Amino acid sequence: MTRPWAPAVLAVLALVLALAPAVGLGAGASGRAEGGSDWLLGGNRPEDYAVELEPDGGRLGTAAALLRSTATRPRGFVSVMRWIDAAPHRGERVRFTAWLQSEEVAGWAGLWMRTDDLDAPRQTLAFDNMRRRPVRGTTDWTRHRVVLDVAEGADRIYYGVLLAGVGRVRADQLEIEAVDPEQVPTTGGPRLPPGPKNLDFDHPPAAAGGRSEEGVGPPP
Amino acid sequence: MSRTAQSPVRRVALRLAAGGALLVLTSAQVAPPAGWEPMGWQTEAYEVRLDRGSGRGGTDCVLLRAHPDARPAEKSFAGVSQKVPAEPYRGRRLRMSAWVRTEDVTGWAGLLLRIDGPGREILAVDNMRDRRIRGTSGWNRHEATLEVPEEAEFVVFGIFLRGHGTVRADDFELDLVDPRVEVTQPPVEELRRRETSR
Repeated sequence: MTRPWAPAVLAVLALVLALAPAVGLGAGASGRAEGGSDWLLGGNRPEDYAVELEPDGGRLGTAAALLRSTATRPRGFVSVMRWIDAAPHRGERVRFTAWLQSEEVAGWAGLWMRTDDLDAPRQTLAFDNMRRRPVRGTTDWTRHRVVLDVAEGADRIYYGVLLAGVGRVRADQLEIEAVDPEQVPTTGGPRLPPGPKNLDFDHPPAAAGGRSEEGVGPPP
Repeated sequence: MSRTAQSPVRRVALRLAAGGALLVLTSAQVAPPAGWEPMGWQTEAYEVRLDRGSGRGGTDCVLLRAHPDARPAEKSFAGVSQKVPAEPYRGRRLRMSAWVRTEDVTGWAGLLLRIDGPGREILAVDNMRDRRIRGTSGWNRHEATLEVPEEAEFVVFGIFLRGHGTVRADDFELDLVDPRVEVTQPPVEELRRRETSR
């Protein structure tokens, strides 16, 4: 399959990158950390969604990221995401928080975070995408969090906001920080072992398909 | 001098007339479909890739091919595989099946199912060497069934081609089956016992 949506994706991505600093979408106080990425467009079906900056859509009247479905029956999911180097955080407990507001989300939305060991065989060490505590329907601004332990073998921490299915979700004040393990419980843990993939060759896993690994979040 | 027939393979063919013999060096491509890993030994002569629209029912499938002009090295083979944790299958009987279509396979092809233990010790393996896939045939379902011992760490499964021919495979399945379904190969330990008691 060709990817006729590629230009649109790039346009949206460029928009996000251009405006991200203005919104304070950066990684807490550190902004774009050394050994990390900018905010990226992710997901496995970005052609069914739009990701925009709303200059005054934020919780306090400032800017917010808006993820919304554009297709009548959107497939897969879309995500705004970034990654940081996990090495400085090995052995730490890390919390990703953001404020989310949703409108008529018929699918689900949430924050997600995962830690990956990039050495072959590449594997995800810990993961949480709020699948079991999803944001649905119409909700006012609410602070959400995902908390993971960063294992010694972790090389990267990926995190972001995702929307799967029909709806609109706004995200504001995205922050990632180390927390006290005695005070803050984890919300996710070691990922279940990966099973067989793409056995019929028609369903490539989300991390594949010709796009860069950084451009793709976790399958919802 | 005639030129090598153009194939869809991106390959570099170099023909040298040496002592009357025609030597063809082919650099084919091993590019496994998403989610799959390459497997093989001296795979230079092989092409491994996703084949769009050629699967069962017109969907996609995987293609393994050693072109007639290529000279696959003796004992060379190429294919695709996946390695998954054995935990869900421990203590059970595991059947892997796939649909396979062949054209002019003068070497042979087989499904591979392997159970690895701690330290990559092979606990059980079936590569269909006793029921090789050869020749030309439409879509046929093939399977391999092994016992997965409690100490199993990983299950490796896939398909390979050894020698000339074209193989397409689609719709792999891993199933836990009733113990009444016979294994297609006994555990390696049992093979060793048989060997020593002979």
